[in-house]
Amino acid sequence: MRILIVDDERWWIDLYRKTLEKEGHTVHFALSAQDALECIDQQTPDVILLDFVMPGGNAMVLLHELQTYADTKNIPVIISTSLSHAKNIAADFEKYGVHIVLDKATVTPKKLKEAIGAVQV
Amino acid sequence: MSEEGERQRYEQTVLCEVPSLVVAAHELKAPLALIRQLSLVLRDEPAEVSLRDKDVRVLLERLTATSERSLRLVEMLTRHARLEDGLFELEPLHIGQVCEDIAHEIMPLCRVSGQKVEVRLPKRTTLALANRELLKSILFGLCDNALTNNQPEKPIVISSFSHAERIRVGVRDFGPQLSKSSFSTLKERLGKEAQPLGKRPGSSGLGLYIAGQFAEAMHGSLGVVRHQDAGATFFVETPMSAQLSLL
Repeated sequence: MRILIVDDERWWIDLYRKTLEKEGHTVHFALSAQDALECIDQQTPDVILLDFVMPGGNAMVLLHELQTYADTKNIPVIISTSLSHAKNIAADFEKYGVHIVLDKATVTPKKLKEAIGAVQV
Repeated sequence: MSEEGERQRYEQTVLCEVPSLVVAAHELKAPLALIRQLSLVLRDEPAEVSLRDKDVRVLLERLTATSERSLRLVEMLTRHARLEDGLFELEPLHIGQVCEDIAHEIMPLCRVSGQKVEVRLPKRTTLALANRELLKSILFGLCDNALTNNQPEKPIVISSFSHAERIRVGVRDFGPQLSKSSFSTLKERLGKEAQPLGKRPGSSGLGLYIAGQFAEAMHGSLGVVRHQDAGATFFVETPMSAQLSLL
């Protein structure tokens, strides 16, 4: 699968990428919502792994944009966040294609793989 | 409900107004979560696919840098809580020496992120009337911010100059140019109370808020300059020491 990681912290990108590439996925990354939109323009990912709070616009900016276009509105999104009320985000943003929320404080490579597997079509 | 209405409802219920303690907890949780992940990689890498020494070194450096960042935040929070006790006395400080110290202390973070720091000082000796701990805390935080935003091709620059009985020490990064609206918001909110997480994309502003409080405790102020070409300079201003006139 083609997975786009969107996170302003490179070290998180490296950690996720390591796990995902081991599973045979093709991984791209973007450091901001704006960069992510440019990446998506060039090549549509199969899944987006999205940090929730980033400089230049949080995940909401990206989620709203994705819903605007027919070829991006159905891309499954996994939110990755340190926010303590992560579960609330999942409930509020299901309609934006957010299927799963991973808490950065408790995520493991196994949970990440399970999340990707869960949204795989 | 309209998109704008939905966004407002979201900001109220999900990213609601939170007290500073919750903001501080989040700011600490983020690096601790990263430390945990880095440790998991070191612990769980299968024996048959061992990490190269270089990879281990990189992971350990990142672990160290992230845990030090957390410790510094805890120190800043502790100092902030003690500001009202009047424990932070002001003294004449050689600004050049302070800047060189900071450049030396930030080197490990620079190394881990593959960046450099440069110090540019005026030829004339300048003494600021400030508290060493508070000033270094502010400057280290500004440097850490600059490293996060900077493009690696250029070094971050620590510089100082004096004007009208005040000394300004600035940290310049060459990252993406701030938009006029972002800059305007930033300038308005600089040093003010940390904002709800949704209103300030990327960070709560807790570090800058505490830095602003430290600056005020030294009868100084925090400021920011947006550059036309790239990046910004965040600076702290303090009174000049009258002792300079005795030199």
